[in-house]
Amino acid sequence: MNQKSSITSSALGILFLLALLLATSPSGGQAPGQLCGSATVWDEEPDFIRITAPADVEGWTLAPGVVNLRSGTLKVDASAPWRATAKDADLRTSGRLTKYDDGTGTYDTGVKLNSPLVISASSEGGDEVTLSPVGQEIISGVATPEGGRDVRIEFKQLVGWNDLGLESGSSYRLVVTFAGSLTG
Amino acid sequence: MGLKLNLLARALGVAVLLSSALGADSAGFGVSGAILKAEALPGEEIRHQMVVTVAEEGSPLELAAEVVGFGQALDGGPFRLEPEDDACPHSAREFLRASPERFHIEPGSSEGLLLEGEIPSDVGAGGRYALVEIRTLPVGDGPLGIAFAVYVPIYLTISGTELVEAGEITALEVEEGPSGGLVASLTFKNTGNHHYRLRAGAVLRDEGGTILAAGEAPLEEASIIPTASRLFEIRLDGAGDLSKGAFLEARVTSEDGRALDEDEVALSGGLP
Repeated sequence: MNQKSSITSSALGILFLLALLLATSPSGGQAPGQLCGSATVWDEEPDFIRITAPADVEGWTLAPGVVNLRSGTLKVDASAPWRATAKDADLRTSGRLTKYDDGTGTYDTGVKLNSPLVISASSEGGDEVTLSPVGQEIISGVATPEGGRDVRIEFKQLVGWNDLGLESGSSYRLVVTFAGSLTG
Repeated sequence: MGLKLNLLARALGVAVLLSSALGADSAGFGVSGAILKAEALPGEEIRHQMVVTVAEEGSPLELAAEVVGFGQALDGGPFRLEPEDDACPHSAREFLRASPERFHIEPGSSEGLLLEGEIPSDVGAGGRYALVEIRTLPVGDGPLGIAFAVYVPIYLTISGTELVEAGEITALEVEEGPSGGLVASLTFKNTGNHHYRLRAGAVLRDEGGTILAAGEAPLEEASIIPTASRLFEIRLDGAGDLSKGAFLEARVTSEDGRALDEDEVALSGGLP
């Protein structure tokens, strides 16, 4: 983890700061991880985390009477121990696929699938969680190797025979939020 | 949209399958400066620079950044506390801000994000905590839209003040594990004013003091912040006859091995 030290404490520190300013500063400001105003600077590589996932899950036709499956890859690149969570922050859906008007972009909160969406990273040593408005850990790990770690995730949706079929122009929808953080 | 893509896929055949196999449709972002642990004096101005980056192969993103309350789940995971739930005196939310609050990033580009604020002169003792929540608008218009967030934990230690690293075991029990064996379940609360890392251990003894089973949880990666609780589930290796009664002893220690709390419960007549 970062250590605080004087900006003038070492020539190497100054050289590293200059290199960071030249290489990574996007707006001409400080290097990432810098704490200034107190004339101090982090003289190590700043901590980072990157999280990516499929941009979309398109064309998922849900069949009644079975657990419908789709899979994807969650990629995490982290310089320190990390964790990834999943949630549905939208209280209109709260983890259950909800009727969505494709034309107006609005939800009909009175029509939802009876079973919530399940997200699983269990094949990678992670957890299987039932999606809810509260973020739940699906997987965690130590600092990743260069290039990051690919985590296979599965979306599981049980559709019952009593779930409502939808006419053309509307579909079931929700938004999954994947969140990453370093632990310290 | 899904139907349209299905038709497109039939028309384009192999080409679409290839692009899918290459995983061209990914999204997400990275953050440098993704954690801050620092000491600061009352009245001191602080600034912490972060850089948000979208990879070349990613999608353009609309993002928002906000300083929010630092909630900590029983497993140590951070979560956003709404202002009405963030009345804790150890919150740093009210004197920190992140800018810009909203921004757009194209693939292969970066944007600087600055956390700044001034520690109140009457801030008090111990640690102050907040999260910077960096989140995207949803991408994709299929049945599952995907959004992303990164939480940057902020741990500020107020220099020159008394740091109290204390806590207590608030619940202790033993039960059969899902795959057999015994598991001690222990909940520990940080009653001090500063964050610290901790580990826990548990021992099962018979009435004569003989150890029947024991286990230890490794040092937790995530520090526990004041007022938060942490749940340990410790697998107890060993076996013995609990029908005549036993005692479960638990102990929580800090990273440097200092005892924070100990507790003991009697198990009369075996498992509850």
